[in-house]
Order: sequence, then structure tokens, then C-alpha cells
Amino acid sequence: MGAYLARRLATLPLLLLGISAVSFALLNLAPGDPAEIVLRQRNPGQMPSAAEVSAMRIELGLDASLPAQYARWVTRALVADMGRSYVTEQPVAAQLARRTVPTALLTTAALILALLVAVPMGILSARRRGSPVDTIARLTALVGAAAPSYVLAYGLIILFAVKLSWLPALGYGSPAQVVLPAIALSLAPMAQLMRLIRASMLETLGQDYIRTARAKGLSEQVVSARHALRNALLPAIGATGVNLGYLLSGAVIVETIFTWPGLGQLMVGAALTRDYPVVQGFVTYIAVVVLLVNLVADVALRIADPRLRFGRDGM
Amino acid sequence: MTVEAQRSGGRVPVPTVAGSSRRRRRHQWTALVREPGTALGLFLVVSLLLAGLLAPWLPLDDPTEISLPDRLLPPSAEHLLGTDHLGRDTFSRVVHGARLTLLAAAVTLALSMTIALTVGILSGYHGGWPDTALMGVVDLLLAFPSLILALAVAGALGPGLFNVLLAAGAVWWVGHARIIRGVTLGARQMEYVTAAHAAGAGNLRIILRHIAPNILGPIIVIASLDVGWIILGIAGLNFLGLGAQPPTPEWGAMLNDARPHLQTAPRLLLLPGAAIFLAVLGFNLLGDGLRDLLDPRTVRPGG
Amino acid sequence: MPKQLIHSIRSTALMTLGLWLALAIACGAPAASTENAPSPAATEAPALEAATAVPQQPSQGAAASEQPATPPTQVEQPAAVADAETERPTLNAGVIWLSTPLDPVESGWVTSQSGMSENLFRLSASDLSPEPWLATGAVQVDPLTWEIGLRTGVTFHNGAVMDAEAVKASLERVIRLSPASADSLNIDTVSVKDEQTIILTTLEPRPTLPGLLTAPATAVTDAAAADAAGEGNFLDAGALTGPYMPTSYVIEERLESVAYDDYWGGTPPLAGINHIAIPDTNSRELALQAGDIDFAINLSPEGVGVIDAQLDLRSQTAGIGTSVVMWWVNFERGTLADPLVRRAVALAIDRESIAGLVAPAGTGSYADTLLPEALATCPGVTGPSFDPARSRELLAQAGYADTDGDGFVDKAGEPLEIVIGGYPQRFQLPIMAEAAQAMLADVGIRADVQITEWSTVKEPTWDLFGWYNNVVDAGDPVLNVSKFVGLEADAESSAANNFGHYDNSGLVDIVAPAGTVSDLEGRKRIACEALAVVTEEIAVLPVAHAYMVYGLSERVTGFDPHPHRVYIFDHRIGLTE
Repeated sequence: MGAYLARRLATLPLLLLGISAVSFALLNLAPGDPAEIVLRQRNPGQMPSAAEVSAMRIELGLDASLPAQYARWVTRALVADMGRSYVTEQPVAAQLARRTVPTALLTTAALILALLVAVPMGILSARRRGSPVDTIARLTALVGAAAPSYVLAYGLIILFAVKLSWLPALGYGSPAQVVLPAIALSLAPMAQLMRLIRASMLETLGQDYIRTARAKGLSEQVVSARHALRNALLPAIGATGVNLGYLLSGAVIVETIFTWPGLGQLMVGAALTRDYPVVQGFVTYIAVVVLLVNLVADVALRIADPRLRFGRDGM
Repeated sequence: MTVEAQRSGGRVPVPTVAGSSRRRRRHQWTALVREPGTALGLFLVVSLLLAGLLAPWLPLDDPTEISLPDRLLPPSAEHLLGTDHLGRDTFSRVVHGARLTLLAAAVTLALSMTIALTVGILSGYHGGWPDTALMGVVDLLLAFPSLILALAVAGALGPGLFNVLLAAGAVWWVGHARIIRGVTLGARQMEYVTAAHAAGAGNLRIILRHIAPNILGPIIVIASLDVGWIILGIAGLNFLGLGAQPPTPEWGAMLNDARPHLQTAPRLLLLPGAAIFLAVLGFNLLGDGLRDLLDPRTVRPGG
Repeated sequence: MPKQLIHSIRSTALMTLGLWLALAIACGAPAASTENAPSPAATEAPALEAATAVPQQPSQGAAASEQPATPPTQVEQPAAVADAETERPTLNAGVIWLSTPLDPVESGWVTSQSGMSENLFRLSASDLSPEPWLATGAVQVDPLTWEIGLRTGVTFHNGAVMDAEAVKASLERVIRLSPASADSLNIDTVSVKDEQTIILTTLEPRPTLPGLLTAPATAVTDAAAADAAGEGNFLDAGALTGPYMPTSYVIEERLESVAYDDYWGGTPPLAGINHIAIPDTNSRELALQAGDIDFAINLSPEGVGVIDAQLDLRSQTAGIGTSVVMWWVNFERGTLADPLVRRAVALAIDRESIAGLVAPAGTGSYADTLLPEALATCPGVTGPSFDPARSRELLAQAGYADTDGDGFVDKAGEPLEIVIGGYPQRFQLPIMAEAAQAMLADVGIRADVQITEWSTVKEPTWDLFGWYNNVVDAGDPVLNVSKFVGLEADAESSAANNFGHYDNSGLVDIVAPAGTVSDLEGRKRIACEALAVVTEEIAVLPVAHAYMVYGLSERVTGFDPHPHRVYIFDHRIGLTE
């Protein structure tokens, strides 16, 4: 365990450096001269002169060589200086920080919702294979994996906000406002978790020690609760990283539809206006978060499941 | 959005469809059709393929022909599913959308599979430092949720369907490379491969003759399971306005165009939405069936 | 875990199933009901009513007798205010942009539309001519000298009195910090004549100075307080004079305000207004319907129909076009530089039909030429009218023919291909591009649509570029022609726009006399003369003049829509329980 943790922690700085390189490359991939873009944003409608552009290039540090620019970018990123938005001219790091809370709220709500539905349904559908519950669970999983969140989101708004007036359509601030986006966001991870839990529960239920437990005369409930459940939930922990990916990807679309002032909305706006520093900062930030959450999830999994000691597949 | 396949590092979820077909290999293909879910999947995929391939020759209105007096017509005999905000035939657009969606998925898949195969086989076959380096890159890229990375790349390149496909292809391969590496590694360690190697067979020959057949099954499974995600992801990017430019009948873009008519003509939103749903569902079901058929254990890395 | 669990699972499963069923029903039902319903044409009625039913009544506090331009106040409000002193409601408004800093010198649009900042003059609701606001009037003493009287009883949010010294400092600050405003105002000196009068001198004659002082960037601010607060702390300075004081501002997200009870026009009936940025038109309409907001700026034509069909909501518009929806025409790229091809393209596009699509009755009108009726009507100046046959003739004349039989014309093996650009934030532009694309195909011109971002207009990658622009700056017809061909700055972008690189040298002499002509009729004549050239040469291709259309809850009172989008919230707007 200790060695594993040490190895994971040792590769962490390398991965972080890699992330920064990918993000940096992203900005340089983009066409157009950032200096010119900044000037145009500042003085819309005016063609910046060559002198202005070269002055701005110096101001932005674009006159340095690429490696020097990269080094500068990394050293600044280390002290949470991700540059300024081309559009609003606000510090990117501050924007990211401010937008983290809404996104964390939304994704947590969606994850809880997904777990609340997926865990009992996954278990039950495994225990009662072929029963109506199983059929419904599997259908839900199929539908959830294939339904575009954007269609679902608009359907929810029309039904619950406009027709029934039970819940607010969009916006951020009150607890009621989180309900619809959380439902729209939770469907994909819910489907995935349900499949995972069902499958692993089936596998566990078929294993020797469960049969032994049954043979010992333990009731079915005790068998499920004590042995099978624990093992069946392990994949759910292991899939935290996957789900985080799902949730954050989904949040990009769901936040846009529900005007939820989170990271996803920021990202879409930035991508559409080619606000590269924001895109870059966002991508870096998300990658670091996903990396860290995965690390924690993997370590938690190792603690919970002694069987997992070998293998490099990171789960 | 291949996060599932990616993060699970090839631990493709154990099948949900009953595994009876697994043991009866001789009934392979008939068994595939006998499973109702898979049969439905096959039906949906075949319909989609037919629609996509035959769209230009079907007796449909021109999907890009606008007719302002005929805008927002309800369904009728002339326009089976009504017309959109520019008077174009919705049915025709949805059918032609299948063509584009398939094409987009195929391009993305081809692009991502090419990268994944190159990286995966090189890494698994060669081993050593290239393996360490390449898998390091894979580990690194796995930290980026693929839709978000695709969004960033598409944003950087500017709007356009081609850019979206490029972006998707460039990020979608990551998880697959790891799976292919695992399968290659497993195949390489088999005795006949070692024997062929000892007999002096060239690397390329070994890869083509011995490794390739072994990884074909997993590739088919990954591909079929992945098409659904690719369709959802690309439609998502198009929905956000980063992809297809007018008048291209692309489902995600159609959804975006339909938003103002959400309440007055919801079918404009529901139809492309349903098309995406059915296409993804079809590929998912078919992928599940194929995985059961081709034995999921081969899909697992490291043997 | 046994029974309850099974029960809970059963219910969640049923819920999921029910959800999908409900969705199907919800989306199916309105389809049936609305498609049969007659199209709504009643949007103008409430607006008209509101516009005529406002009685003239001097407001309290202000020295109304000497100020003919006092904004009318509704009769019932002073009483209502007195009653509900303790529990005044707060209005939630959905706006499109909250993207500029609060300090008016940076742009002023946000504070102006929010009822926070005010100018010496503003554009009148009826004919968009400049009328006194914080001023009482302006007298042009000689071509270079103006004497401007100031309203008494006006205080800044921080309590300081707005007197001549304050206005002088404010103007000097504008000139110091906003080069574009300094350019347009051309002010040489500002001096104080007495407590309520300032004297302005300009370097060159500025016959439309009161109009130019309506630009939101020239709002009257407490310069000393603003400078003392420092950059980025404008909110704390209390340096504005409007009926609402900003209390918190998160750029691109939310702007909150509370009523300024000592407002010179009377105490606002609201406790405050929260402005919430909802850039997407569709989302704004949904938020209004769901009751999340009480007021939505800029409805789509579809939204007008949906909202008017609801009992508790209504749409309102002044019914006067103040923005132009148009295409820039690129003279820099070869394709449209050829006058024959340019005309062929213009004649192939049925602009009137497209206008009916993007700005149908009640939300806008067809723009045959650039200038809206509100500013000037120019007899004899007509735009290129839809004529595909003539368009084909012109193409043939320019040497284009379909030699390879692919349905598209070419010349010397080169196909005629144009790129139609635009940006998605204005819903009109993608629709326009798509419609034009199909119309051009009919005459054999292949068009590529590229909906990107607005700043693409500065790149040489397009032939036509969809644009949405205010076209009533300063209420001056001349300015609103010449700013589109790069001769004068646009108030919104504070810069000269000539994105099509149109050669404006022919217009310089036509517009030159406007430097000294101050009477409106004279200026209209000059504007029409310039417009004739711009229209004849197809320097830009207008499509529609868009109205400002507002959606609001029936609970909103005292709202009288102004045609211009910088005037939305004033001290009369209220909310009933």
C-alpha cells in the first residue's frame, strides 16, 4: 500500500507537468495572434496598428521563445496566476475559483441522485434477475446511456417549470433551482453506475464465498447486505473518476441550458468567443481535479479491496 | 465521452445481456439475433445504415431546399413530419442527418482507431521505454474528460464540422490505446507468437499474422460500443454551436436551431433528439451483443 | 434493506418511467394546441395603450415648472409608494449582456439600461430627437459655444449635489478617460457660468452636441468620488444619479441594485432591481414563463407569440425600429468588389421575405435602406429589390455562366462562391444567412455559411457578414449613415466601423456640410443624399429594423417601453403582489 501510494505520488508532478504542457499546446494550436485578439477586444471596431500589436506582444510576453513562454506559464500557474480573459479582462484563476462552487454543488447533487437510484436498483435487479424490476433497471440504464442530456433538459424545463410551475426553470441561488439540472445531469452516470453495480453484483453473487455463506444457512438478505453489497459497491468507488468525467462533460451542456453560473458555462462561452486563456485555464484546472480525485478514489479502493494489489491499469 | 472505456482501463463492463450465447459459439451469429436487445440494436443500426446510405436516392424532398411560405408546417401527407423554421422538410433532414452522423462517427472512429492501434500495438508489442512513454501520455490524457478536451480543441480551431471531427478523433483514442496494448501484450506472450519470433519471422509479419487476428474481436467490440458515445459527443458539440454550419442537416445542429420553437413546434426538437437517442441505443445494444459473442475476457488488458 | 428498499426502488423506477411518459406528453400536447391557434397579432395593442394612457404629471421634489422635459409620472404611484414604504418588491430582470464595467466612461450601456446612470440629454421616446434630461436645455450661443442649463435638485447616490461644478468635472473626466467620446464631443473648454449653467466650447462646430451628449458613455458622474474610489471600485463611489443604485456586480452574471429614494424624479416604487444575464433568448423566455424573472429583454418572434398567449404575461414594444439587422458587404475581397456581381447578389436575395422571417410584424419591419423611419424617410432612395431574373442577367453580363452544368455559375473555370458570415448571439443572423444561401443557389451562386464569432468581421474571410447594430445614435440621421462607412464613430463600439472596406471618399464631400447644419430637416437632406450613394453602391445590405420587444409579468406596472435599448428601467416601473 505504502509503496503504491509512494509510486502514485511520485508520478504526480510528472503528470501535472504533462497536463500543463497539453494545455499550453492548446493555446498555441489556436490560430490568430493573441496580442491582436486582446487589442480588438479592448477597442472593438478598430484595427490595431502594427506598433500596438508589437507592444501588446511584449506586454503579454509573446515576444519570448516558446520554451520561455511555457516556463513562464508554468511558474505563474503554480501561484494560481492563469492570465486574464481576453473578453472580460478578469483574472482567469479568480473566475475559475468563483465558478467552482456552483459546479461542485450541481455535480454533487447529480452524483448523489445517481447513487440514490443506481445503487438500490442495480442491487435489486441483480438479485431478481429477469424480474420486472430487473427489466426496468436495465431499460433505465439503456435509456440513460443513450438519451441526449440536452433533449432531457428542455423536456424537464417545459414540464416542471413552464407547464406545472413546480420548479424554477433556470438560474442559481435557491435549492429548488438545483433540482432540474441535477436530474438532467444525473442520468448518464446513473445509467453507467447501474450497469456497473448490477454486473459486479451478479459476479459476486456467483462466487464461492457467497455460496458458502448461503450454505451456512445465512438468509438471502444477510448474504446480500454483508458480503455481496460490499464487493458490488467497490466498482462504484473505482468509477468515481469516470463519473467525474461524465459529470463535468455533462455539466458543460447542462449548465449552458440552465444558465447555471458554473465552470461549464464559462467554458462554452470561452470556446465560442475563442477566449483562449479561459479555455486553457479551465482545461488545466479540470485535468488537475480529475487527476487528484482519481488518485483519492484509487487509494480508497485499495484500502477497501485487498484483492487489488497488482496491475497497472490504474483502477 | 468514452470516459467509461477510458477510465476503466479496458475493464469493459461485464455484460448485462444474459450470457447464454457465450458458450454456444457455433450458434454465434444466429444467437446474436435471437437476443431481443441485440436484435433491436441490429435493426436500429441497419435502419440507420440504410437511411444513411440511401438518403440521396430516397424519394425525399431536398433537405436544404428552403421555402419560406411553407415554414413551420405541421405534419401532413406532403411533409410527413412537417417543416422547419425555413420551410424545409423535417423528415428529409432527419434522414439525411443519419448520413452525416454516420459519416462523422466513421471519420472520428477511423481517426481515433488509427491512433489507438498505432500507439497500442507499438506499446504492447515493443514494450520497454516506448511502452512506458506512450502509456505515460495515455495516463496523462486520461485526466482530461474527452468531451471537454474536444470542446477545447474545437474552440481553438474555430467552428466547423471538420474541426469538430478532428478534435473528437484527436482525443477519443486514449482509452482504446490502453485496451489494445493489453490485448497485444497478451497475444505476444502466447507460445506460437514466441515460436514465430524464434523462427525469425519479421515483426510486421508477426503483427499482421498473429497479433492482428487476436485484437480484431476487441476492436470490433470497442468500436461498436464507442459509436454511441461518439454520436452523442459530436451531436453535443454541434448543439453548442461549434460544429456543422448551415444548411447541413446535422442532428445536434438541428436541435440547436429548434430551440426557439421549443414550445410552438416541439417536434422540431424531439425528432432529431429521438434520432440521436435511437442511433445511440442501437449501437449500444449491438455493442453489448457483440461483446457477449466475442467473449469479454479477451477485451481485458494484461490477459 | 428488504421491503422499504424494494418499495423505494419500485417508486424510483416508476418515476423514471413516468418522467419519460410525461415528457412525451408535455412535448406533444402544446404541438397540437398551438399549431391550430391563429398566429398572435395582438402584440401592438397593449403597447399602444400604455403609450397613450400616461398622464402628464409633474413629479415630486424636482423643480418641475421650469423643466418641460420632466419624464411623465403615473398618477397612482406616489400613493402606492407611501402605503408600501416598508415592503417594496424587488424586480428580477433577465438581460442579454452584463459584459462591460460599471463605470460609464467604459461604455455606459449597462448602467444606462439599468436605470443607474443618466445623461444631460436623452433621446425622446416619440421621435428619438435629443431632449433635456439632467439638463434643462441647451442654447447654441455661436457655432462653437453652447450654454447648457442644469436641473436642480439632482443628487448623486452618495448624496453630493449635482451642480455646474460637478457636471464640469464629469465632462472633463469623460474627455480624459474616454478617447472615443472626447473625439466625438470635440470639447475644447468647459466652464461654469453659474450654479446651474455650464458653457461648453468646441474646437469645430458640433451642431448636434446635445445628441452626442446622449451617448451612455457621457453619463453624468461624480468625478471626484469616482476617482477617489479608484479603478475597479466604481460601485462604492455612489457616483451616479439614476433611480437605482448598484449594490453588487458580477460581470457576465448578475447586477443588483436598490432604489435611490432621494431620486430627483420621485421615489421608485421598487425596493430594487436584480439584473440577471441570460444571453440566450430562448432561456430568457423560459425563465419568464417559469416566473424566475418578471421582465425579459428582447423576445424572439416565437417568444412573443408564446408569451402573449399566457394570461399572466404580456409583451410590449414601442414599435419603432432602432437597430438595423444587415449584412456588411466586403469590398476588399475580389468577389463583391465587382459592381455587377454585387448587384446580382443583392437582387438574388429576397430581403423583404427574410425580414418577415427574422423581424415579423410586431417585432420589426423590413429595412429597404439603412435608416429607420424614425430618423428619416428619403423619398426616391430605394434598395435593390428582389429580382432573380435580373440577377441572372447581371451575372451573365459579368461573364459568369454555368459551363459545367453543376447548377452554379463560373467564369474561366472559377466558380462564383461567396461566404456569408455571422455570429450566433443574435438569433436573426444564422437564419438570415441560411435563407440567403438558398436564394443565391437559385440564381447559380454558391454560398457558404460560416457562423462564427462577431470579431470574424475583421478578418478577410467573408463576402457578406450578418450584423446587428444600433442605428439611432444621437438621433442624428447623418451620423447613422456615415458611421457605417467609417466616417464617424459608432456610439456603441466607440469606433468608426467600416468592416466592408468600402471606399468612402465619395461620401466625404456629401457629409461635410453636416458639420455646420444644425436644423433637423437640413441634416435629413444630407443624410438622404449620403444614403442614396450608400444604397446605390450597395455599401451595406440592410434587411430589417428591429424593435425592442420586452416580455413581462402582468404584475409589472408603470412600464412604458422606449424604442431605444439604452432606456429600459426608470423610476416609474413597479411590481404588484
